[in-house]
Amino acid sequence: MLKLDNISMRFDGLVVLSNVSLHIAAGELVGLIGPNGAGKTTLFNIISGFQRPSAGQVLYRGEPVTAAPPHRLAARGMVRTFQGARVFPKLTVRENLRVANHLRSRQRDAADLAADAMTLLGLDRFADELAASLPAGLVRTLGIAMAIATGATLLLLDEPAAGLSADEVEQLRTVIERTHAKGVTICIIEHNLKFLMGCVERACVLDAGVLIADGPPEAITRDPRVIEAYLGDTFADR
Amino acid sequence: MTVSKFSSTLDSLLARLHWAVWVGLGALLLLPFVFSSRYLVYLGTLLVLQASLATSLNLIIGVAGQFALSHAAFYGIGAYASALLIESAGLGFWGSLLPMLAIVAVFSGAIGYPALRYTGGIHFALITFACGELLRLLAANWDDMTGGPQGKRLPYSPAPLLGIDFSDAKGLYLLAIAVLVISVGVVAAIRHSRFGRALVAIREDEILAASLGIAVTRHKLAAYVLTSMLAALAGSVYAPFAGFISPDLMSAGESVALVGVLIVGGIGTLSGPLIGTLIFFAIPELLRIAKFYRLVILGGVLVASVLFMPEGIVGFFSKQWQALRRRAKGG
Repeated sequence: MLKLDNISMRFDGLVVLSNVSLHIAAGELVGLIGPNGAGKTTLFNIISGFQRPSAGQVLYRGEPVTAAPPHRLAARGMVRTFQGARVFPKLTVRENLRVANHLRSRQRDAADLAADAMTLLGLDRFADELAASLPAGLVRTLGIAMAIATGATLLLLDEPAAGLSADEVEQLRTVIERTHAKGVTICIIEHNLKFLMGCVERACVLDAGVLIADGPPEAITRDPRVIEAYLGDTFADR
Repeated sequence: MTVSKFSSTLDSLLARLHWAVWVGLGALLLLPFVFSSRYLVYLGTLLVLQASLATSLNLIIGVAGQFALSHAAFYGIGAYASALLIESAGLGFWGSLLPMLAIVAVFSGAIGYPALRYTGGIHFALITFACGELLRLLAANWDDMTGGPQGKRLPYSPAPLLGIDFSDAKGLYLLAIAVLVISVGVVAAIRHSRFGRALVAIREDEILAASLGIAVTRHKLAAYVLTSMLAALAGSVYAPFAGFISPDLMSAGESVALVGVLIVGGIGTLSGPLIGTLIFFAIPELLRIAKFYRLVILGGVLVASVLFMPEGIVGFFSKQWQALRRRAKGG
């Protein structure tokens, strides 16, 4: 479904990504991990059309989309969320979801999809509240509900569990699993490894812009390069 | 009466209050007919045209959140283009409307596309300001076509339509009201449409809007072109009403005054531009008796409204009204 072919990104002399190649098949649930500054969000920005790479190519459903703008990619089913939960604060929860439904609002199932996303994430009770009045955890949840309400077939979630309570993380896991079960391909950037490794089928590790590991979570947690660059001995001993 | 019954009665009264504002504004439009005064008809036509302009400007500034300063220029282009199409191309007033709107769409598209595609924000304001001034200077210096800085006399009036004679002041007042109704109708319809929701999303957060599949530049450009076309429509009615047009009609000061109308009335609200027009343009007219103090009084009203009601008069009262309704619903 998504193929990255030797993606590199430089800002003047600073190399942020170096020849990253990656393939995500349809229906996969993949985690992208790495220390701060490893280039994870830059990679998401490139995949979703918000930045153009210095070199390399992004292929989506077999077609090159490296220069495609974000709205066109979203229209083709690739939707991302942002670090720090981005929603429309002056609109109500319902209005936020209606905007997210923009691409599908001419289709018959559009309202169902927004309502489903709202129910799935327990936002019904807050439907008429302004997004600005919601606590941080719910704002993050709303951001994810909006991405789901677009009817995306490939979801890129940037640190969805950051700032969530233990209960909310569990709820998030359920939502991700249910969304994935509907056939949606999902790629998640996350620092909460306990949560991530418990829900993905495959993890990719970036360190200083280089892809250093790619495989099942159990193998990744035992990989000496990953332990040295990111996990440390504590996580590996668990 | 039980508490809950009282609450629901209060709530239904408050819900009707919303419509009462529109009924009040509609009643104001009838005043020139009730008193049958030539002065009131003249003043009413001017105010209605200004209200149409403020309403259409509200689409790009209030709904889409893009600060355009070329509105007066397109008002003028509407007036000039329709006058030239009537006098030089031999079209009637009604026949000139579509070509005039097409000309304005091309002009506004040519200004809006690069300004919105490659810049935005304050740069968009600056580019529209500069292009508006450029169009004014073009009108002032193209003597053969526009009559230059001295302006152009326009001895024509729209042909009768649906039994209404537009050769007298009352007919033109009705025509101005029709333009206002069209402007309010278009903006209201857009606000409740898929297109309007996309514009609001762009106003609130362009990056998030793009990530949700909204074509940001295309939507902003469509709003700018539509706004300019509505301004030009008002301009085409101004031409036969005033019987004279000059480049002063297109000055950037007029565009800035319209932004003032929106700020006072309530940016983004539907009735705000109408209330703002009444305050901004009617107060100086009604206070003529106070001679030059009238502008001091208007200044005081503007400063007070910005200080105490930064969301504008309609925005402020709408907030109070919603709080009252919430309280009424809560019993």
